[in-house]
Amino acid sequence: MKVVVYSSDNPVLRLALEEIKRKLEESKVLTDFDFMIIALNYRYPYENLDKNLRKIFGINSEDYFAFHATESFANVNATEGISVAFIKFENKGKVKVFTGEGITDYKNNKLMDKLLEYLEENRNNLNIFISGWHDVELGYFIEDLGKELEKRGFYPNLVGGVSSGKVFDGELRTFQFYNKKIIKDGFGIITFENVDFAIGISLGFKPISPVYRATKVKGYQIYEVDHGKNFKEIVSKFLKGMEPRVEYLWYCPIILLDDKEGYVSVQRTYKSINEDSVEFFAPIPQDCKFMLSFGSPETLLESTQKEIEKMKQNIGTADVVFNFSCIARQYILEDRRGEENLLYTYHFDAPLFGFSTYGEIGPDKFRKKVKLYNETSLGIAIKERE
Amino acid sequence: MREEIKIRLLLNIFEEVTRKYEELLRVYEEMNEFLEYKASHDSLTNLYNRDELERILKAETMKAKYSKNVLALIFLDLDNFKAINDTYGHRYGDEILKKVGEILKESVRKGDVVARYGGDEFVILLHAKKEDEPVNVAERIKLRMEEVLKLYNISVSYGIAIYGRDGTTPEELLSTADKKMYENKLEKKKLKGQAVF
Repeated sequence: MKVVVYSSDNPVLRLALEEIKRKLEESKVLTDFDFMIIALNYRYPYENLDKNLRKIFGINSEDYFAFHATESFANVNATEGISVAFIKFENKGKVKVFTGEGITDYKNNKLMDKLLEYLEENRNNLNIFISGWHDVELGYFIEDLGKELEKRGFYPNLVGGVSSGKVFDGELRTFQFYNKKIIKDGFGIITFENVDFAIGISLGFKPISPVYRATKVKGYQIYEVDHGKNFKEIVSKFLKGMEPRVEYLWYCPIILLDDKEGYVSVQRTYKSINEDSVEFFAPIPQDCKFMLSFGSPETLLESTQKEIEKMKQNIGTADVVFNFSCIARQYILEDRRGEENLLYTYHFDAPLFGFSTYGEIGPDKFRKKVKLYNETSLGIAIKERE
Repeated sequence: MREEIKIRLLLNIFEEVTRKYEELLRVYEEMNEFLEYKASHDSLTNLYNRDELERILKAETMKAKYSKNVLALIFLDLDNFKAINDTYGHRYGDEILKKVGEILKESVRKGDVVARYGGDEFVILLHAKKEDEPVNVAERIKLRMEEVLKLYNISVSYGIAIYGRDGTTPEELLSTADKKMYENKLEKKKLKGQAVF
């Protein structure tokens, strides 16, 4: 499999795509390709995306999958424009796409059943899950999916990230685009057949506190810890003497401890400080125990380096590497944000495609169920089978 | 700017973490105190238990050698208590023992030691100015207890050992007081023509 990744930050959609096409032609690495994966900034008008792609690249509507991303990665570069991965299979490798809609009402529709059926059929393939941000429902959807997979006793190699975007023209643009469809309340799965792959989940935040117990919780929000202590007041103290920006708290996500599944379960990133609660980017289980943690660019990059070493042991070389890295993580990495992508490309000597996510989706440590992570870099090294 | 924010944030978190550690330390200390209390006290009467009495007695006999005060050990036993347990049951008996514990605690001065030695046996360790003072204390307690317990037909026997006069080690003092208590009990039973338990 040959992959090349190019980007453009031209603010005009057509001009950005033409610039990318020019880069592809000039490089002469690929004369043609089988599939495109496109990360698109939320500011671009998306109504004519399919038309532009077909016209500029001469492709069919089912030969690409696109999604919103505030920032995307093309090799070591990060852009707030467009990044495109062009894929050409050389052996028996194949790609196909599954899409689903209706996450906000998933308990009352058949979405979960259809997804489980697809994943069971493709349990031995690599399934890259790109979802939209659906406020509170997505976290529960992923949690329930994890439970169902555990119940059915298989793990379908499901990894991915949540599209990032912002409110623009009155809508929160975290959409996916496939085969002329604009998916506003769902997800897409890019399934790779006949490929080998290795997955790494890098954290890099060190626990720094005693254990708290979340004793009053509602959904994504913690109200009280340790029976009666207002968590908002505790968190507000962290921002004492500073402008109370929630981004500062991204340096110290909480680490949920899980007695059943091992020491560290997942991290949770602060979303907002409300009137009487603190909200996170994913669900907080009632009565869970957690610790405060702290991360710096150095600890985050050190963790990614270790994960890459493990991935290399598993797969050796790669044709392409994907990096789905949390937007909060990019904030912590500050001016060293490019180094994470540099680590992946340097060690695998392969092109890299990725984006800043609103959450990462990957296996738990036992590879039994799927989890929604926060503030991780989820790396996937892929190699087409001979 | 980012460095300043990180340092400020870390300091603020450190403050909270310190507070949380102090809180945990307090809980740990309270837990330790509770465990120490449970290990040294009789759970029924909340008086010192036998182990703790022996530890205190050892320390007191070492100090008594250099003290001008009189160290006295009063050994108290309830007469006919076995009959209460046999007739009314142990729960009823336990209530009487709790009552005895309360009377004993109320009847001694601060600094004196009251312990449940085992079953219906109690020990008072007191510091007196004169050798006849412990007898007065023991008599006062006996009268008070018999007044409260007369409904149950329970009387009290006691024996007193004085440091120096009756021995200098915890074993000697306990053995002498116990022996005297038994003689006292025997005397009373003989007068009544009853068997001794």
